[in-house]
Amino acid sequence: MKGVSTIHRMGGGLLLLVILLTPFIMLWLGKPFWLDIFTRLVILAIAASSLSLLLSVAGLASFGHAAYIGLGAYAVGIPVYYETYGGAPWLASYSGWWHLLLGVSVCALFALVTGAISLRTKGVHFIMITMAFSQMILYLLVGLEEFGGDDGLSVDLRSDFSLPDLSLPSAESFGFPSLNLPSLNLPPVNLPPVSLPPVSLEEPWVFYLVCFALLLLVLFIVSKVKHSHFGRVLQAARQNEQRVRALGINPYRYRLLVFVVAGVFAGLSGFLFANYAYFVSPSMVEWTRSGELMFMVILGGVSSLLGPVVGASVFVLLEHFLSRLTVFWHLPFGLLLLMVVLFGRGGIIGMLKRDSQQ
Amino acid sequence: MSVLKTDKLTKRFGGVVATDAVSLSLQDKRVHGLIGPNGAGKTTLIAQLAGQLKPDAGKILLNSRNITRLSEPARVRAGLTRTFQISSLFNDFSVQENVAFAVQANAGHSFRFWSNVSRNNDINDRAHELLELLGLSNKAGANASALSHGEQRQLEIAMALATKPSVLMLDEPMAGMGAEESLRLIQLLQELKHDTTLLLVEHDMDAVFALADDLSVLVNGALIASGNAADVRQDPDVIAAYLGTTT
Repeated sequence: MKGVSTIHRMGGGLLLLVILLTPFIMLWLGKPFWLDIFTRLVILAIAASSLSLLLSVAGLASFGHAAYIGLGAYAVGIPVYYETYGGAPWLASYSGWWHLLLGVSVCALFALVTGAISLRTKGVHFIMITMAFSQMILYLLVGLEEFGGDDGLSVDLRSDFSLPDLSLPSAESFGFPSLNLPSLNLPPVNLPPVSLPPVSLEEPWVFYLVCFALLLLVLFIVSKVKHSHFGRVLQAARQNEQRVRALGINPYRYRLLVFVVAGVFAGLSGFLFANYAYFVSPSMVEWTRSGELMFMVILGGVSSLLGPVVGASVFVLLEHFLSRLTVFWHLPFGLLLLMVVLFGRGGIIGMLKRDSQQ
Repeated sequence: MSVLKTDKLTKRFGGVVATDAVSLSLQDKRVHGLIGPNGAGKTTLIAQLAGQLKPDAGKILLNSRNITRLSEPARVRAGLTRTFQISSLFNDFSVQENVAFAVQANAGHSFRFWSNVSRNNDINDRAHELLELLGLSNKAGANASALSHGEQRQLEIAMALATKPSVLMLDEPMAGMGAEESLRLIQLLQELKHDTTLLLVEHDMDAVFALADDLSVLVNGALIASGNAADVRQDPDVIAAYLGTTT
């Protein structure tokens, strides 16, 4: 058994390495567009991993996960829009730190409020209510005429992560928006700026590596949480809530917290999506998007940390190849899901594990 | 001294009175047997004591504290734990993990996100003791769902003991156990009596008579007799109820 689990761990490391290196190899082979595909793959893997925290660990089938992607994305789109075209100075900024802070806060708050209500329901009701909350966000975004309504909004440039300029202790230099308070008019300091070279997400390679690093971070946190006291409570409550209560724990607050954490991670993937596509639109929040995320988690396998990564990879690659063959690529896609659900319990990783044990 | 007490506890399901003004009193560190024919409302009574069902009327007192409005998890933390008639386990967890989780549930809050819980020695040591106590050590690594019926019953009790109850309610713990397993469990319960008050619902009369210091008899939701086991066994109403000749 020990040997098998080592093989699995090595397989997981190998998979991540392949994902990391493939775009570089493809560039060498003269196919630079693969970088674009793999960037999307990695961002989707982050979103799917965050959903797996709910679906696989806690057993909460949230059908509204795309809402957080939309919120995280608009937390980039709206400040950039205002910074470019003027208006709402308290919100306007190109700063990535501000976009992240905004996206994380909004997602956490939305998850806290909707989770507090949704988690009082179970089963199909939970699925429907999370979907309903996500539809509310969809229609809210469609209704935002200033930001393009259902046409969406172009993001003119990627989030700026200039490191703080050490010579000027003003608000802007820390990447936060100017508060424009008269009292903050500091006298100019005449020191040569010692700023470090800015990390520019405009460079596609840099952006890809940042996405990949964030995927590793999310996977690491998910893995830690899964095996912690907290994760044990969630897993126990997934299997037998009645018994958890009879042992002295009310799972509600634990579930609410994981709901918020998953929402924040999905918001992070939304932040990356807006930067990836230079575009945000309400279609990111459509319920089919939430469904696709569920698809990825189940396809990859719910029992494994890397299941969502496998699921997202298969999803993106199949979408790429099948859509070149036929516009009706959703049909073979759906059949594949049916096959995996019917014959491959534990998803793709589950099937591989069974093979390696035989 | 009365540890757990109910005062005219009543529960109705539509027109059916499942618990009919039951006033029960459990004495400290004694085994209190609760018997009665099928459908008498024994499990319904336990569910109300444990906090899974809300009574329509009446009070429940634990160590003189009114716990009638307390949630189920809060009652467990106050020292009142139950086991289930049908084993209620975590089937994806190993036997060890089942018990370890029960220990964890009663070792402070679980808002701990970083350390690996399966490497927590305090929890593992306590879980090991309990597995030893119930004779499940050699099954520690097995999946809970892979246990035999009797072993699942033992695991059920190991988990309940992990909550360090002052009052433990056992809902038919011997149901489906082999003779040898039953005997072992009876011995264990004898030992437990030294520091725990037990409420024992059981159909195995040999076990009840071997263990119970006090006895209550429930028929159609109402207590028809309650008191010292020897006295209750002589009660003509009880004999009539068990002979099936009640009107």
